[in-house]
Amino acid sequence: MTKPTEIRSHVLANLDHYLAELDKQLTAQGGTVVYLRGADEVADYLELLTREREIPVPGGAESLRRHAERLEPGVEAYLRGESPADPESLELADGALRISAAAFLIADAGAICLTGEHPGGTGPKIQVVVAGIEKVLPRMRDLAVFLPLLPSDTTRFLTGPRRAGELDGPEELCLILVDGGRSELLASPERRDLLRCVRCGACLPGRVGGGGVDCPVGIDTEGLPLRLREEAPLEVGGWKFRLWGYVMRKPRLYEFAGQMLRAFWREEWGLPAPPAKSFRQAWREGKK
Amino acid sequence: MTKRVSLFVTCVVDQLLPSAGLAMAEVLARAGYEVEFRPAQTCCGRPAYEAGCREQAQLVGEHFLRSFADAEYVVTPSTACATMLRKRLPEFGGLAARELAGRVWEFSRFLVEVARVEDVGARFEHAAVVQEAEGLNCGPRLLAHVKGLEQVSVSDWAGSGKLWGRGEPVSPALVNRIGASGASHVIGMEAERLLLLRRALEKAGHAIETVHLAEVLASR
Amino acid sequence: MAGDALLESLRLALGRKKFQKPSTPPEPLLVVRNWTMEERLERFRAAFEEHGGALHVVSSEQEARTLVAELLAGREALASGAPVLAECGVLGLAGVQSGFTDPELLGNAAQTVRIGISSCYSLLAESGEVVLRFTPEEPRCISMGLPIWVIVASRRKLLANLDELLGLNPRSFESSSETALIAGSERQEIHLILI
Repeated sequence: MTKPTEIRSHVLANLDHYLAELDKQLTAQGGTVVYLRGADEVADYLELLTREREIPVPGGAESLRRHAERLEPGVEAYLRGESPADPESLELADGALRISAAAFLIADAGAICLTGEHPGGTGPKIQVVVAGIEKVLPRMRDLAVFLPLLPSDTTRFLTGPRRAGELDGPEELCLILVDGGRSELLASPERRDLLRCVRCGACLPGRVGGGGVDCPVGIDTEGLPLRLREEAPLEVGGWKFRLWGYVMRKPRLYEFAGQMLRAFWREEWGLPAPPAKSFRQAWREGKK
Repeated sequence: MTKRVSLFVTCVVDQLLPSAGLAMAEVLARAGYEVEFRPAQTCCGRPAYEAGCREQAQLVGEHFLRSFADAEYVVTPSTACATMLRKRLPEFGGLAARELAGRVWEFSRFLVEVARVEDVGARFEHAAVVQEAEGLNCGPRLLAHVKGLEQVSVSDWAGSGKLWGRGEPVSPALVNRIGASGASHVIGMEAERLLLLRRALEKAGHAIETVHLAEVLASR
Repeated sequence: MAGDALLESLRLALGRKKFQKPSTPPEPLLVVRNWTMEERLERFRAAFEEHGGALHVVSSEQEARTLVAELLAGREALASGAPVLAECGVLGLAGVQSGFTDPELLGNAAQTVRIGISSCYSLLAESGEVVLRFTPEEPRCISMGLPIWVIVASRRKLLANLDELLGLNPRSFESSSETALIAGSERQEIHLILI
């Protein structure tokens, strides 16, 4: 096992301990820690907060809900093998409130690590950070192996709100820790490994080293998500794939289906329209 | 003795991008191979496998096995389909499946590692963006020898589209970067990603042509 | 959801007891580079310039002051309370405002002035990153907040890498409300004057 894999496994096996340590430390430094069940509760919390502080929200509660879902897609996203693109922060009312997503949480320092974050001016007044409970690392020095996995032009460590004498930075810092189904994953030894993910994106196609070759935290990026998807197949499973599987084993039927595809091509399928002839037609004619 | 290769063009190239399959056949023939196309072939089973529908993927994989059981080399223009077959065929069948899996090659790797050619004598006089390669694709090495090709670099290929599984659209930011790159062509290694990008470029109103690696290597 | 309830459900999932201490966590391997100052400087220059920063190495505080004046070219600037700026005499240059103690005044000044002058906490040779620790003397909006940022720092600040920084004083992050690592920025023109 590599170091990042070992450290992530250790964190997950003792997650309650490290969350308690993080909470204690960050609270001692003036931050607030809130625990929520999922994206719904995050949206409710944000709605309440903006209403209480009279912060106008363009797009209203609905836009907060959408942002909460982007920040906290829940573990279903892992099961679907979706791309771990980091959501952008939302800043409201000229810096009155900023809502961001954490890259890591560091237990011993009570620190929140954000990547690619550039708040303007002296704000925000209130900084809210949303993080899945699995984001925690034990110690600051663990960053020596984890930060290189998330290269960014700006990496920030928030260790509390503005202190006495400081001239800028948030007046309030609130960390929202979201379960989002993660505690259930933890209970399954086979699925727990998924939570080692630090969203580095090495497994994504279109990235250097992409294609599921080398996961730095030892997740079987090809096998594991697929095994899990077998247990919880997409809605497109079922009869559609049975029909597809039948057609794909009958070359003549397959060719006929291809002609139907051409005849009834629909713009909204999101691909360029097919050329008049398939490869096999062109090949046959070329060989005559 | 002339060696024989069997084309596995994949369902996407067969139905949607036949020009890439024809070009691949031409390059292989120029490299001295006898090229055959077995009409019994359909798909590698990846759409079902990536959606978690292993049962149907296996049935289609078994059909692939029957179609190509005695092929000397199976060459395909898709890295993703080649990987699917190499990794999953052994799980679906016995010894014959394992042996066939080892004879499946992605087109660019086949040229470099089996045929041992890097300069296929191609000429392509355009400024082109080369779509980032996946896995062990050797496209970039082959393109380095193409005469007249001016490669234009575009940083960060994140969000370059996905067709199977849950699917993923092409990122508009990527389309803009390609649009602003000054290139007249985009060269892709993977038909599905190329087609998704072609459509996204069309929709965004960029007059940039998309071609498959095989088409570039076949041009003179 | 109360924190205790979540932690309790985690303990249940993991089969752990309340207050049960974890085993010792695996140690990350810190990479130690025994680079000389010259090597550090060379590596830092390469990486920093790669990120789009401009590095100016000077041999005296007097030279640093002259260079800052040249960069300002008569324009207004905000300066932090970093001691090195006072030592160089940068605070005495025409058009340089400093000595802020009121958040509102600083915020207003940052609306109109385009250049910020600050120092930094460390510099990391391997990655070309600037480490900032925000304190009453070093507010964030003077360094990260303005379109042009001039950093003045002694070459003693030059460490080999992040590992060295974390190894030196791993708990030091808690001494202020924020620490940041900056590897260039598309938003800012960054000049570093190294004495």
